[in-house]
Amino acid sequence: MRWLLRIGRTREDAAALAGDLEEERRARVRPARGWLAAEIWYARQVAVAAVFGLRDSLRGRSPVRGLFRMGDVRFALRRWRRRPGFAFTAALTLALGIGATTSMFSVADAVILRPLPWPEPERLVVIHGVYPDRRQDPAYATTWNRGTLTCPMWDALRRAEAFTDVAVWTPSRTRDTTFGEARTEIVSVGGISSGLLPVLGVRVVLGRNFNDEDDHEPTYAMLLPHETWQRRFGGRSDIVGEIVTMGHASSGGTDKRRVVGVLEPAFRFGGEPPEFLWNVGTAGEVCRTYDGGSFRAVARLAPGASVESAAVEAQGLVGALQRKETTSVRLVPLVEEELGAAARPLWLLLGGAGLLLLVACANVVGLLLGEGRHRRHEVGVRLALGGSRPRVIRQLVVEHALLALVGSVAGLVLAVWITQTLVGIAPASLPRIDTVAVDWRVAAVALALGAAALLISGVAPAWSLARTDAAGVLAEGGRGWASGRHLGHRAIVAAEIAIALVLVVGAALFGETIARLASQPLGFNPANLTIVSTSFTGSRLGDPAVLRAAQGRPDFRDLVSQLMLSTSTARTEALVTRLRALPGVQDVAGASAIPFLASPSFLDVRIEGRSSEPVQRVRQQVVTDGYFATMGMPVVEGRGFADSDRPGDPRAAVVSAEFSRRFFDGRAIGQRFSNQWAPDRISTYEIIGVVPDVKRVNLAENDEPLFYAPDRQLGLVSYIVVRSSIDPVSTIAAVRQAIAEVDPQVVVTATTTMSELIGGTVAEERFRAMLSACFGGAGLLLAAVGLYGLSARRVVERRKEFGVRVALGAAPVDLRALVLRDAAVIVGAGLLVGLPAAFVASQVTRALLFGVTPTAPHVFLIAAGVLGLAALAAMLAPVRRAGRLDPVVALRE
Amino acid sequence: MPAYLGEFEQLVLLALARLGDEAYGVTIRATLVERTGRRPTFGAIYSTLRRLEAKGLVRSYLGEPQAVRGGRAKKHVALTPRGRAALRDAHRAIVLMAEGVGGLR
Repeated sequence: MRWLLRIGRTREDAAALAGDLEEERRARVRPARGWLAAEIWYARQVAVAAVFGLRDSLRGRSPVRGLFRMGDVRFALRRWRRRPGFAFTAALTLALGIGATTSMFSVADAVILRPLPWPEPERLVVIHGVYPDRRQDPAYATTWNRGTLTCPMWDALRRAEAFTDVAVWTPSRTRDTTFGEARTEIVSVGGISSGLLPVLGVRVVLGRNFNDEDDHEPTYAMLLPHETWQRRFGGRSDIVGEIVTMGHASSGGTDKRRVVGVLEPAFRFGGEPPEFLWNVGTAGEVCRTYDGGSFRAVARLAPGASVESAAVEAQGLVGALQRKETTSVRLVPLVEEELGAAARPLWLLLGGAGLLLLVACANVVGLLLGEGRHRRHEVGVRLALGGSRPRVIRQLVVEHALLALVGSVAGLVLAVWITQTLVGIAPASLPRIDTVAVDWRVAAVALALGAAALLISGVAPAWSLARTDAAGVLAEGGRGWASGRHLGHRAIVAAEIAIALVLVVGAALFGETIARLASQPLGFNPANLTIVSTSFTGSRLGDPAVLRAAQGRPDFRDLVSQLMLSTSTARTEALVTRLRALPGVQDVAGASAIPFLASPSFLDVRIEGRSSEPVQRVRQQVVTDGYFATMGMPVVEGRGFADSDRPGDPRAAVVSAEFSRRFFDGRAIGQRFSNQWAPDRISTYEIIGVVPDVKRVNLAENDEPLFYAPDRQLGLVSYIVVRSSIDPVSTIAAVRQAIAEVDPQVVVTATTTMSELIGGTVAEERFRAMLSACFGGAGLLLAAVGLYGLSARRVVERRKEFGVRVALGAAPVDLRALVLRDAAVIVGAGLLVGLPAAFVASQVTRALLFGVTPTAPHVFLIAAGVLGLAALAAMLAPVRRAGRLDPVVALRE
Repeated sequence: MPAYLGEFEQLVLLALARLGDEAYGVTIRATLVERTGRRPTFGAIYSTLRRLEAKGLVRSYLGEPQAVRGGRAKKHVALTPRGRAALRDAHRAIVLMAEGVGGLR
């Protein structure tokens, strides 16, 4: 908004003025009056300063001198002071429309409109591995065509002439790491090839980039992002060439890596950047020989190559490789990959905000038309006294411009506030949401919207006023206009109702989506659950002496797995026991996976008695005995795990309802299934209980067969679930402390609460639902205000006619019916236009809905009903007024 | 020929004379509010200062940026000798005209 201060001022002056305003505003934010008063004061100061600046800059210039006079502004302000209701409503209406549109634009601008921060981003493509054979496998349901590339695939793609370079990276993963003697830390590490930095236009500020050797040989080189260099190495300029020893705490191994270079600040790619960047050649020739590697690839298109032609060439090269499974690749422009999913909903919301602005404009037109009728007399007098028509038009233009200016400024203030709120509630999955700001681009949009709104709303009323026939008006003798059909105004209000209906239908669809999602059965009780992710560092094998003694024995392998199992089980048990004793904690359990956080792993099983059928891929989750009780999952059949379920054969299993339904027609207890986990090893499971299906990743998913196995038989627990009787957030510190006390080798990598996890899964839907509800509500309000304004005026203007009717025997109820019928025609017309429009508009929401179709009749009925109710509420005052009319008074006027 | 001063211009010049080194937008407005009870906008004050500077009656210089001002510098304003003279003339005119007129105190 500060650019308003630049009008007619030097940069220095504007900055000093902005500083003064800032200083004064800060002094004004007092608890007693609140920030709103200070913001309003600020907006008014800026607006007045802009007018002064404009006047100063026009002073003394002949061509424009005649066009702008302070007198017109003063006159307009005086008029507003006399009719504050009109000025306030008009400015607020404009501000609402401009504020909503501007803030939505600022979000859309940052997320999808502003170019990506790389050179020629439209020439960058992401290359996905496509593996059609995996399509039927539930484990690859969403990733079979978004797969990684292997070393030979990368080599093949680099030969393509359609790319200037094919760069690869391995997504960052976390590692428990020790630096020298220091405590174990969790750090993130990612691999990149030498081509990635040039492709993205990122510079190396110290040392060198990786080179071809680093890409193919185990050179153990490392690049540091600028932030890591500053934080961990104090920004030392002699860092290049230094060898950093990074111990891998859980495996006990170490990596010695030579720092070869430091990147420029703010390197970002594919989410949070890792702290350390390793070269990708670590596996060396082995990677090629054994078709290893798991790379993500981004390539720059060569001049003249298109995405399509490059895809054909790349598919040819990859298809020629002799691989065990059918392999292809898919090219997706990086822009689409990064922003594609976010773009559509945002365009939709932007469209919603635009509709709201349209309603606001229509409302202002209505207000100005109504105001115009009040002014016909004044304009008539001025014309009769010798005022020229251009002079009158200028006065009107100045008034409208002032209105647009006030509306824009107030809209901007509103936009700043709305945008802050939006960023606060926006789902974290929206890319670049952290860069959203109301800047000069956004301000320019607001001003343009204000100007457009002025143009749309001001022209017709000004035109009709300026054509005023002085003699005719004065002949009316100041009695004001009798009646008119107000066709234009009525059409405008009907249009408002139609647009409001579209907005309300959108709000209802998204609202129902979130309600349906929220009412999906989770399968467990999410209240007051804290989830602690842990990583066991140090040896997994317990006492090394025992192991050494056993070396060479024939059952060494079994001994090792037994040792690992007992160590891990003992650890988990100690943790669970200690945490259970914490104040406020009701129950504690361990698990290998957690709903909405980590999915259970897949396991191929054979259902006993059905040896003819192929193996089934199911999910397996390891839990401690208390898991079902802690999660609030009722055991619906059979029993849960108990201390008696010891290692051995068969193992005990509790299955999900879907598991029981799909494989045993719902009669699973006592049935068996088996898993062949090595050529000579088969584990058999016997089903002892059935628990409800549990949502795993999102609320809209279908149920999958899943079974639970006790950790006493399998180990592998790395998540701790804590159910507390108090707010889970308040227990987190105590839980961390207790874990550190029990076992210093257990590192807590993350803590969260179940409600946060679930909230995260519906964050986008909730965001859309909230925004569309706001748009719908605001549209409804504006339409109601428009209808009220029209009807109230009609009642006043038809006073005389009503008086005659009453005198001729009409009862008050007849007058009320008359007024209502008048409004019903308008509302009916609005709905008639709005329903098909909403029907068409709702089609674009289809992909974003859950549990409701865009054409669901009840949604339209409810939306129309809500609009009808709002219309009735708006009509309440005018109708009562018509009913209370005193014919004597009305006729005497 | 001394410069003609409008009434608001006189008030602003008086505020400058009163404030000395401390004169910039916020203090000038505070002085006007405190002494006259008026609440001029910053836009009006800046517009007047610019006019006075163009007439050579005041001069301005920039101070250091400050956090409380959103990192922006103050624009300090001071009377020039001509400004002081113009103020004196205007004041003298008022005093001479008011001399002997009753009911002004």
